[in-house]
Amino acid sequence: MPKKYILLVEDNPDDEALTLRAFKKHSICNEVQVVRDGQEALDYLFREAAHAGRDSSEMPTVVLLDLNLPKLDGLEVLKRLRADARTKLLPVIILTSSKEEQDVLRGYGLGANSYIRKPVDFQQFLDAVGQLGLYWLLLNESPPRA
Amino acid sequence: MRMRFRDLRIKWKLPLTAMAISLMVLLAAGGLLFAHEYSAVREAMERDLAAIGQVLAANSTAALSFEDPQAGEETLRALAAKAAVEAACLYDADGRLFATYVRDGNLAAPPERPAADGFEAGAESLSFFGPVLLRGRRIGTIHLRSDFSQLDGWLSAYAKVCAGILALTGVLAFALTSILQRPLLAPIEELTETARRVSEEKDYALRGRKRGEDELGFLIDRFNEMLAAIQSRDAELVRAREELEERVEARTRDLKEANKELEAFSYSVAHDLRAPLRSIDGFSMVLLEDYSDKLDETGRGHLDRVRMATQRMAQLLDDMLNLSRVTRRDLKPTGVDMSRMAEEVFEDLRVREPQRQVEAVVAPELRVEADPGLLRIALENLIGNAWKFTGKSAAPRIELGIMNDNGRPTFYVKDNGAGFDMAYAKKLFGVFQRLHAATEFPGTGVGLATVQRIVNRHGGRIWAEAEPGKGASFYFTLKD
Repeated sequence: MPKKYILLVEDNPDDEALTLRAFKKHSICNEVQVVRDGQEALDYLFREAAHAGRDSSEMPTVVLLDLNLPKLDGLEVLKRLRADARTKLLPVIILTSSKEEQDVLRGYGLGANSYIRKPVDFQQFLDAVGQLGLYWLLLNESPPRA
Repeated sequence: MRMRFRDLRIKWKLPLTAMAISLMVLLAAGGLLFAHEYSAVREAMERDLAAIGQVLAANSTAALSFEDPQAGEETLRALAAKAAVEAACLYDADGRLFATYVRDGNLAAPPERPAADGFEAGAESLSFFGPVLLRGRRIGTIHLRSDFSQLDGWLSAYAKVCAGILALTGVLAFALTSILQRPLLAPIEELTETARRVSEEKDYALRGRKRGEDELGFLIDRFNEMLAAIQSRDAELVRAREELEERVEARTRDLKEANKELEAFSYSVAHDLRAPLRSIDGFSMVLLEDYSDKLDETGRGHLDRVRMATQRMAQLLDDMLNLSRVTRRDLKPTGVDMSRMAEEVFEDLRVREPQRQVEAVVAPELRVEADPGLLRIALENLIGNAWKFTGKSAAPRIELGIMNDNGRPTFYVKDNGAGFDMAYAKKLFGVFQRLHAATEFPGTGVGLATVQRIVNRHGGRIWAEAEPGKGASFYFTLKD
């Protein structure tokens, strides 16, 4: 059985640290893989460039995707993931500061599984991250591997 | 359609007029001449008749003296040579008919008794009565009657000549005028043609050709001046329109640019400004959790304040964003049940603060034409404010109703909460304007500014009435 882990696409180191802390707080001990921009996310998932040698059996259970990313923004990443047979069904959760109607609409339109706005209040953020970890790693049944 | 003279072309008008004038002049002259000639012919006829009468009278003295009617008639018969004389007779001294001559049997016989000496004109004949004298003594009367055949013949000849002259003159007048008017007519026709082309082709570059310095020349000059004025005005108009279009385009471009910038700014406010806040709040909490043993009560209090400030700032950012969204969003008005919408807002508030006991009175059937999304934001703010400011009231009551303000349906949200001093009413709808201390009632001061923008965008008006400690009423219309 392949191990369950989370891919966190996040360019802000503060947010990264706080998100990791939140996982830890909720005893989500699964590994969290972090990539820091859109291009790296694609490289990681498609095993290209720096991630070319990665073990092909390992795929994250869920991707936490920020929208505002350097190089390639989150929506573009999502579009490419959905266009590729290997990642078409991969659960992707948009985790972002924006709650602009058009971002939400486009996110879902491109096939996001969930859309969560990062609350400023860290307590709320903790709760949100805890719940989504619990849900996606434990409750949710992942799609079978392609 | 009957052609009226004033609708005829000048080309025909002038010759016809000339013809009419010459005919009238000729007719007048001919008439006078005729009258004069007629009387002269009449007089000659009378003289003629009198002369014949005298000759016959002289020749009849013997017959009358010897009372020989045979001889008298013999004398009268000489009249057969004078075709115009229809009849003649002699009367004796007593006025009895003595001898008679009638040209042919169809004609009337002379009268039985003589009339007075002189001429007598009948409808068809002229009669003459004259004395028959013998050595100065009247011995009888002679009577002659002549028809008008001489006059008739003369008349018909005269009429023929006249008609001939009239016809000839008319044709001549018409033809001559037609030819002579050409120099006069040509510029008029040319001007007419130019005017027609200008009006049909809308070509204001055309000009009339001037031929002389007469009135027509003056007219053509003014006509050309007007065309020039129209032409230059036309060109100016086209230029102005093009300039305007360019300016509108440029302005639209600028506006689009500005709008895009504004959108980018709003997005950045929503996104980028929140990220550092999250860090501040998050790490403050990390400090509180991981290093609380190294901080005393005051230090922990300071961190709590930092966290509260970040919350407030996050709220401010959200409110500002909402405000700008309210302004940017397209208005899509439709029929809205405002009563139901208000009930939903109250329900949300009750769910959020179940411990509050607030009496909510919503007038039924408040149907309005409005953008549902924006109206909802407005109601959330107005009712939310009332909810907030009745927080310290003994028996909180919030009412949404409708009243008639000078024939205009006016809605109101009335509460019995903290109210405010009307002296500050003007500041009420300004952004970030607050009339209460944040410690007393929290808020960012953006809500009413947002409501006002929504109401204004619907073409309505909003105002408030309040008294400190007694409550506040907010009135608004949706279309003025």
